[in-house]
Amino acid sequence: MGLTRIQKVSLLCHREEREGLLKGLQELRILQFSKIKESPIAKIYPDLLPPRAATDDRLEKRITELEAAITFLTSYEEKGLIGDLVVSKVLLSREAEKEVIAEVDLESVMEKARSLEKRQRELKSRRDLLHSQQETLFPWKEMDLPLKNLTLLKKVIFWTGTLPERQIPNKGSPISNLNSETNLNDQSFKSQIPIKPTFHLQEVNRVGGKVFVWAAFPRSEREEMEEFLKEWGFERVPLEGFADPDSPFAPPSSGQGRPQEVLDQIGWEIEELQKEERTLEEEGKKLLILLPKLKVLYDYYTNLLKQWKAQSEGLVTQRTFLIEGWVRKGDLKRLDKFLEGFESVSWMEVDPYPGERPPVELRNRGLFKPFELVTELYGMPHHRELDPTPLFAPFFAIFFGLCLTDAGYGILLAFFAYLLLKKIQGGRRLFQLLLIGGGSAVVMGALTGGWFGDGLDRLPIPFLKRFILFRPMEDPITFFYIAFGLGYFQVLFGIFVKLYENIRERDYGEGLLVQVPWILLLNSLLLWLLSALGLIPEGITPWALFLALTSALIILLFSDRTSRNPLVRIALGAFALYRGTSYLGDVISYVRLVALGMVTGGLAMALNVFAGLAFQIPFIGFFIAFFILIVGHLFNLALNTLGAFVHTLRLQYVEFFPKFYQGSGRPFKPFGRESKYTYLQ
Amino acid sequence: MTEMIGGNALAYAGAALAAFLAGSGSAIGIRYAASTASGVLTEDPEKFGLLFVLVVLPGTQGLYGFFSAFLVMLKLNLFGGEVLSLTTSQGWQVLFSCLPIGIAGLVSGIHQGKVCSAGIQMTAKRPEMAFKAAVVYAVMVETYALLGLVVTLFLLFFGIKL
Repeated sequence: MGLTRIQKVSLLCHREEREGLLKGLQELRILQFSKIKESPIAKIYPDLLPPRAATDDRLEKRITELEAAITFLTSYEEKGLIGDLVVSKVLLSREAEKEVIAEVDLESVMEKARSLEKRQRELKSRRDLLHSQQETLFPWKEMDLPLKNLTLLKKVIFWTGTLPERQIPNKGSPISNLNSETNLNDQSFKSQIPIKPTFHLQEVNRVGGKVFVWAAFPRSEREEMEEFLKEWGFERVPLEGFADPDSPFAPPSSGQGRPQEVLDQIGWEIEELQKEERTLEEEGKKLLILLPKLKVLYDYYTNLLKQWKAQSEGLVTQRTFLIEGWVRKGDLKRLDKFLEGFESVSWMEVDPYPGERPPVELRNRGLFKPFELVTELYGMPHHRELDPTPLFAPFFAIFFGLCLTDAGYGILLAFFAYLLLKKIQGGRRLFQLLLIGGGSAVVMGALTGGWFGDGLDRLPIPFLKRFILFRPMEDPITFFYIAFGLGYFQVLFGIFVKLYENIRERDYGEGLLVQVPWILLLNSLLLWLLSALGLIPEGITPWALFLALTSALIILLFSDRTSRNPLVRIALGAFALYRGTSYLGDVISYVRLVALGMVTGGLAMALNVFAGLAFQIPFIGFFIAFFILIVGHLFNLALNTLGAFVHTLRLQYVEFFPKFYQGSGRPFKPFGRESKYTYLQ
Repeated sequence: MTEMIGGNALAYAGAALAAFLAGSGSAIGIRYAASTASGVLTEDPEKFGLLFVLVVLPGTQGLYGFFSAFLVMLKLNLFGGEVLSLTTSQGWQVLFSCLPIGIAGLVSGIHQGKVCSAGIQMTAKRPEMAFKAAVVYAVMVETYALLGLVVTLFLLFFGIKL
């Protein structure tokens, strides 16, 4: 238990050895730079600060390109839902890394990826254009008029466009006859159409409330006709572009063709494009074998850049280079040994500046290690705080198990967690946590007779019944008391931890006048409640009440010890007492364990019941039941595991941590290689 | 009028309300969270795993409602062959017992969805706060659905003798 002890050191070297020193420190990964810019030296001699942040433009450019190539190639990778949820890394040795760096002809690979991507983009934009042309032209496919004719005649204008269908209700009648009275039965319709022998209107198609028509009229009457068509709700759909071979909209070798011919052309070209796209995809997939290598290079170059940038972490003069940083006490010997390899480096242990807080590293072993994840998600302890990890870990495990309360699910969960642990390099602590949680669920499930819900009543395994303490579905009130009991215990434990911290910090006043009376008050109230319920002898009641009142009085008078005004002190004390009601709320919050525990088992039971019903269906019943059981139980397990995790997390973060824990520290992160895609061995 | 409805109909109405109110709450809640998450994912697909947790959180109310409905069915011996015949008064008892999880599930599901949606937006910018704040806040909303469920459970278990 406790935190790793961390020492501040100061390193001075000749400027010529700067790069070698930084490179070595990166390999070693034991030192975290302190913020030298905020140090007193830098404030007194600001001209020692490097004039601008060190970087390397060529490296940065290369990294950006590599990243683009990786993103591009990754799009060819096929992975399932699990693959998306967890990022797996490439595992390789240092030698293998060197080989990759020497072997891959980066420029040519990148060039290939770039040209592939460029060609693909071209094809795609061409295909998009063709699709939109197809859409425009499709309603016209029955127009028996070469598109070229639209612009052929000097004295006649051809217009293509749509009219609202409500204007021309009777389908099928050629509108070209609008000018011959005989075909128009509708009187009102006729009366509105100016009869003009020079005007020709022909229906081509009707789609979605629109009538696709073409109109022809003499160029000299254009204005008049435009007016007339507008009145009728005519909207132009220019198709001239399809006839003009110079237009960007022109499909391949178009021009003369009728719309149907042009459409055929477009369809053919789309097919050709798709063929080429498939070939490109094949080529891209061939490049995929280079993806791991690109990832290795990406990590290599980013770390090189990081090394370069680390120069900004120090102070420089013409000849010297000074850095300061944090090292684990246990690593000081390694540091010394490493620095012996340099001619000009001298180093010494220094004290932090006033107000400077060292970074923190958690130090837990064995089963406690995975729980550090929960601490880190909340925030690291600051350097004088206790590490809460071992304090909450047992509670976490028990609560997690209680939220599932099913041995069958526990076994499944542990099995999946174990699989993931073996298969995937990242996320180890989470999977270990789930493994422990699964184990805990097995215990809790066995104690409450939960095996896939009511599986125990359905399967002939009587010896498992021997472990049962109580069954929640028959005796929920016991479960209820257990949850409250655990909650009360954890809340009280939290106050004890605070008391311990105060004693350790020699703040006896706070410990004796705040934590101790609260512990007494809560316990005496509990005794009073128990005796009122008749669970313990009644004779204890007056003692409990006396103790409660005394400790309440102490809290009232001494909660605030800073103010000299007695009224203010009593007011603040009263407020502290009032806030004490939150302890009640805290304990009630643990009732969620009952609800979550019973829901898991209850839903599992529901699934079994439904599967049992489905089983009675003739012929296919077995398969349906099988399906319900497999999919249902997996779904129930997944959702309840999530619920168990987040609710257990909450009990720690909201009910337990505030009693003693701040979590305002920052983690110790020594300068070293950082890798996005690879694990170096 | 209640004599005409009969005890069983009231009990069924209770089970139905528990499942459908809490289920609707979850559905609406997930809708809020999922559409926000979709927006964030277009920018940053790598956050899928992290956001997934926040999207499915409002889904639990529906399960609680379903579980309560299932308990009512068990209580009525729906799966055991002979369905119990309830008096009108017993029917009302079942119906009212189902309301805590139904209504608390509906309201908390919707609001948990909104909290998750806000949490997702925060996670997009500050992923390190995802569990410390976003998940914990969302779980705080869910607490009241859980309390509702506990009340429903205890009423069904201890309040009604059939």
